[in-house]
Amino acid sequence: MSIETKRLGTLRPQGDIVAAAIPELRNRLRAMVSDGVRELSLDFGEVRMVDSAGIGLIVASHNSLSKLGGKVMVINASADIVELLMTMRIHQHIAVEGR
Amino acid sequence: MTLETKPLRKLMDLRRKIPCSAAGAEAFCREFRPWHQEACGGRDAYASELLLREALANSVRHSGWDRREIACVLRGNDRRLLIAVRDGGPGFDWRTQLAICCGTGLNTSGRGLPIYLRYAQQLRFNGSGNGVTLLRRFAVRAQEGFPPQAAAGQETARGGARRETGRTAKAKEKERAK
Repeated sequence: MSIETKRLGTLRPQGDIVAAAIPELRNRLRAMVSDGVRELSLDFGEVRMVDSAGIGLIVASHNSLSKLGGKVMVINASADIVELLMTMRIHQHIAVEGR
Repeated sequence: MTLETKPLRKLMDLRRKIPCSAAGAEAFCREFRPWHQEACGGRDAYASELLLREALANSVRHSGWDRREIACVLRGNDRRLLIAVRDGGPGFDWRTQLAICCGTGLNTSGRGLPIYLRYAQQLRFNGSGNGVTLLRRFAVRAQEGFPPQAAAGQETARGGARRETGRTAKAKEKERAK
């Protein structure tokens, strides 16, 4: 997993963003915010699956960064993931870009 | 006119009792992928695995302190997939949750039931809420012998395939009758 940390940060998870992967991803996101990242891009180019726990993590990141004046965006998501995020109306709060 | 065509594959079963943990659920999902490819031809792979993951996550979340195992039954072919998951816990109040689950907004949880409702054509809980059965029907493609226009309607109606196809078929039958 590669991380670019500055005010603009990008997290590129490798693998599924599902319940079993949430603790590690949450720690990485917290570390990025602690390092000063306020505008976070979640690059899903290598992500195959997102479940409800993964959506919860995306929303939690958005909520945390919003309080700090920042924002989250999802980029390079597969068509299935874009459809899921739109169905759950996440795109109304967080920018979502497909591949 | 019949909208049903015979399945090309026989129904296949997969029955497992798995550890009631996130790791146990993850391991079963890895086993599910090749099984789904063989039984269902890999159809709607994302939606199928998502439904399974949500059912397992629900069991892990609500199984209570006495976490022993989750009983999973999968049955599928190239037309449909049935997922039945049951744990030994106290379950949850699915009736109340179903009534309020549509407005999750920026909550960080509560999206399991909306995903069931969006990705499964049938959803059934047992009385105590520690068991759920989900049915996903796969869209039939034109090259499999389906009437072309009806199949086109079904292809464009992801998620609402059953209702959309029914309307399309009835409209075409009326046109023919005229």
